[in-house]
Amino acid sequence: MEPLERGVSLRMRKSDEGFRPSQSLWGRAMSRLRRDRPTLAAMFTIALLAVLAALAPLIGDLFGVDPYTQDLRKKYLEVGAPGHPLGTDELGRDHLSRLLYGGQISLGIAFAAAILSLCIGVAVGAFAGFYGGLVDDFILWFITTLNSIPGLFLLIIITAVLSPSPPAMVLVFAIIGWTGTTRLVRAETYSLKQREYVIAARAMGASNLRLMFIHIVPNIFSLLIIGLSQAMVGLILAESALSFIGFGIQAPIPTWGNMLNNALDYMRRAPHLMVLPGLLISLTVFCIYLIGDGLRDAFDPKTAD
Amino acid sequence: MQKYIVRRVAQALPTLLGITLIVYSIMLLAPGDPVSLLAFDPTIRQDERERLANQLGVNDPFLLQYLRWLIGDDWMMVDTNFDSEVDSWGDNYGILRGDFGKSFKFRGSNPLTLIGERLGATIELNIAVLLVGLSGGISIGVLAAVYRGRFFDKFTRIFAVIGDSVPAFWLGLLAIVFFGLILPRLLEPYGIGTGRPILPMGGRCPPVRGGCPPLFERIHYLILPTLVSSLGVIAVWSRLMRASMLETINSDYIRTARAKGLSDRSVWVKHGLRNAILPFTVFLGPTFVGLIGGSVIIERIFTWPGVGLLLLDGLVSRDYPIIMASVVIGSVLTVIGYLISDILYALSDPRIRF
Repeated sequence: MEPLERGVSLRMRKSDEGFRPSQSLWGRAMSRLRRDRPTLAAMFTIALLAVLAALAPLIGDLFGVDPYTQDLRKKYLEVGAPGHPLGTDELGRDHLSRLLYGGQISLGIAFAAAILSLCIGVAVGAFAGFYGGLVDDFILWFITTLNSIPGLFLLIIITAVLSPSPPAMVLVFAIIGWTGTTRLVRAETYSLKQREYVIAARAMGASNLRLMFIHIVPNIFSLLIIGLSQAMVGLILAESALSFIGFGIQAPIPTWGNMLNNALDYMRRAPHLMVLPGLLISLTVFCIYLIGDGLRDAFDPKTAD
Repeated sequence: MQKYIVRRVAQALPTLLGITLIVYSIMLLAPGDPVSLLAFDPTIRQDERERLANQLGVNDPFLLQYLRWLIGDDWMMVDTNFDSEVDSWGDNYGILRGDFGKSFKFRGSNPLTLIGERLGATIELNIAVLLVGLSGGISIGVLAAVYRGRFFDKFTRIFAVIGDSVPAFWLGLLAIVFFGLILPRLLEPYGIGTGRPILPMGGRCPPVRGGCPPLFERIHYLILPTLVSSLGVIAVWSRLMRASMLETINSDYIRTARAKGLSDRSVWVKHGLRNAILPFTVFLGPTFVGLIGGSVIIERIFTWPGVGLLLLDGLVSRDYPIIMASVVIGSVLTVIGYLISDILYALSDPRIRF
């Protein structure tokens, strides 16, 4: 992946024997992705879920419902009830609307936290890998320590201390979740900083910051995109697990996790309250999982076309 | 080898120290100070509150408070009557000597004793999960590699991805509804069962006086939580073993073994499996650690009376000594898990030299 300056790229002329258009890493990855049906389908499903969640207010208006209005005369309506396509919960709140608003929170938190933890992870990892020595030792010690506290335990005690509003949750997940990215970036930075092109840039007088973030980090971008999808999977599962045991976002704000927790008490009367949120969590995780696999294959230089 | 083990254990010490520091810092930020928790009674006078605050050391600098929590204060004089002079010995032994303070909820009990009572249940469940998960995962993975590209392989790969995506808490709920409601109703017309749940839907043993009956009499209580919890383990390990087995089977010495005319069975089992099992040691640690964290969830679903449930109870009643003790013990178990996994790896791979 050593970047050649455009002027000197070894592009062959069309008349040459054995002509193959030169392809960048990204160009090849994109052309591979375009042919990868399962990954495309997964991307489409996630996009659809995200759009539906984002349009929750509009869809609510369409059916004349919102996620908070209670109607005790219409409790435990089944799927397909008039006016409530996915039924109602134990307080007569519209289930479809709650699922969509819950999706806003669950997907939004996972996405925002993944991006934020990626930023922290890249910055810390680049510093640790680039400077090495004591800085590196300290950061490694901190990561090992943080990873030695079982993730859910750490999340639980932090949310027990903070009152978990959605922005606070994003922050908490980012503070806990950056270690994986840091490890990856640290190792890659360590190996890349010894490459000739980095040494050349340094000889031309580039500052350390410029070396790190202009020369090194862009070269591990493809790894980071794969890492992002894996982080999303972990975050969605962690957020819903936390809400499920009652320490995440608190009612009445719906998330898929706390809707499941709520449904625990009404399993007998209204099984649909339990089936649908879990199905959405599983579907989301499944799709992001497929996307991650697809991206890895697409960016892997060893996979044959 | 001994040198490596000593070094690896020595590396674990700063980690353990860091864990206590992080846990203590987080809990210090918790709302509600211990004085108002202990002296809830409004008739307690202000000067007595201040004395209590001094006894508990809540006005001390952070580092001193942390040290008192870590190593106790029976070696130092503390000020108990608020006259700015130290006058009596502390009575706190510190967590290093097993003193996590006194539980608020279970009046005065030592949190470690409470955890000790619950640890058996958690370990029992997790051993069952490890047994089922590892044996299931490894055998599925090996069979998938042997029958590569055939129906069994394709089927188990799809199963593994789905098993990875379905969260344990949802699977647990589905299992409860299926075994508790749907299956009994389906079987009843055929005279099987009485329409009551076939398996117990939660708990560790029947509610009897004087503890639980021996394991073989209550093994049916283990079935549902073990199945639900081990599905994720099976999914991960079947993929691991399949990949590892395929990598091994394509190596040169396997071809040599085949060329010698060894039977398929001998090649797969003696030459292939033995080497493919190596990642076993690497991933045993993470699997174990995952189970410790996951025990909170599985114990919540099946009301399994383990440490996870104790932690959740402690959080609901803001019983800080219990919370801190459970988190610290969980982390110590995690560190030990990684430690054992690293040492096993070093022992099992002769290519690693120290």
